[in-house]
Amino acid sequence: MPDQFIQSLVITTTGTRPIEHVAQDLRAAGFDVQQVLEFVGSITGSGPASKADEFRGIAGVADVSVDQPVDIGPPGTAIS
Amino acid sequence: MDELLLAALERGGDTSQTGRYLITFKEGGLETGVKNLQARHSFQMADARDFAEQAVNMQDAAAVDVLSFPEIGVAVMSGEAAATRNLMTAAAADDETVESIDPEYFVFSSHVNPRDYLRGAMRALQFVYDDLLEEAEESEPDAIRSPDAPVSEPLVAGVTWGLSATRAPASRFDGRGIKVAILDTGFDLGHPDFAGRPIVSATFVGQPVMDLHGHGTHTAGTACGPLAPAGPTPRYGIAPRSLLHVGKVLNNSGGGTQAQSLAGINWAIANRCAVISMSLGAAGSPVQPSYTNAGTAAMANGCLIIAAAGNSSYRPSVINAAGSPANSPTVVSVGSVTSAMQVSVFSDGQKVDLAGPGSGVLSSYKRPVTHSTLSGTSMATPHVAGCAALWAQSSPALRGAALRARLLASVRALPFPASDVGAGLVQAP
Repeated sequence: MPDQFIQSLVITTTGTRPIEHVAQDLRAAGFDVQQVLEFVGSITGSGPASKADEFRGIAGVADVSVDQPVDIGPPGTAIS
Repeated sequence: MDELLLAALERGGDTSQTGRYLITFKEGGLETGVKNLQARHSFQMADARDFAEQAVNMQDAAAVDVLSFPEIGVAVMSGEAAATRNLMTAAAADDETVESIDPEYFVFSSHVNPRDYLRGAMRALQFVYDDLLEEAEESEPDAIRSPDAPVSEPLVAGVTWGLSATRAPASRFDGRGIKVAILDTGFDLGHPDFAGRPIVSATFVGQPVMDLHGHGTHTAGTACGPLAPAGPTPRYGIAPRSLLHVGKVLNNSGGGTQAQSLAGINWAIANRCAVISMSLGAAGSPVQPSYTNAGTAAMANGCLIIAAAGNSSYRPSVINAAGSPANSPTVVSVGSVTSAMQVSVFSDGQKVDLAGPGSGVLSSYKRPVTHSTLSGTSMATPHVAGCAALWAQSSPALRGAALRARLLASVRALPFPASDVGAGLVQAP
């Protein structure tokens, strides 16, 4: 049931529309906005994986990517 | 354990102690001893056998005064229980079954995990390898040195090899007035080397900024550490007068998410930090548009993002490509070199803009350790960040893209491909 599968997503905006407007459209499309990062032009949050293409189609959205884990190099090692 | 550590740091003094006490019983004395303690001091008691598989969660056990481990003949007594009954020594317990009562110490161990053990051994080999190379180089007469053989920077007394290599100690700049953001595991806000330093901080991971990992305290130390640490510790910080901004985007286990990193970058740009140092990444990740955008936004606002290339390589056989955020074209990617001016075995390649000292780097560390020697592109990155702060101080025009250009133009050339060390070794103005 892909519709049920909620993913953490990072949305990159084009900067051609006010970011709050893009966030509003994303909310209306079913994206649960967590943070609107105005300076870097990103909107983070979560939404159904099946709607990624719909989010991509919103005016002012440049990219929709899955939020990935980051760490300090191989986790838990002396080399970091 | 985080709660105990925080409490220990707040108590001050010997922060290697947990505040709890261990009661060791004479052989076969535990059952009687525990009964005596209970009867004489009206302790709240618990027994490890009350827990499934004896897997005691110390947080669950926090409500009791004394928790006994019959299998090993030891009981753990809470600090409060010990203090209220004045039971810090075996003599005070006045019980013939008690062998000793001792403070409990924190154990920081990576020996549990065999993979960690092997990595530790690998790191030790790297040190031996580096040392041997250095020795060989020193004993080699200049005449037989090939013309383009790398030459180690002569060591300056009282500073780390990394600082010598960047020529920071000779610089007339100290980072004054320049805001440097370190996006990492936080910072030990009570570190003695930073006493009296103004520090701006924020957390993006739902944990206090206080660094219970150590990594963030180390990277911040290299970029912003003091001109002259107390005692025998050599100088390890490049921009001692810079204004340290600590953004905790990785939790106390050293992990985080891209969204948290972006939130940290956003905060650093909002605070107009001229330098944003990120010793973190996602190995193997393709270029992330969000980071590329963030790098552009940073430069448009007079900031520069500097990120670790990554440590997923095992040279010479395996050279992996730098992951995100370092692989974004708008982010400065930093590779690592050793004190013998060789590419560090772990240093990732392909998209590398310049290199910094990254093997065997001494810097500040979370208390109670206070200083530690670590290796990684994580260590090379704050060397570049510190030098960037000095360059930024040297001219208000050197911000964003101009700062990036100056960093890359002022390097010391190294006889290695650009895909390994980029333009070369970072240099201070």
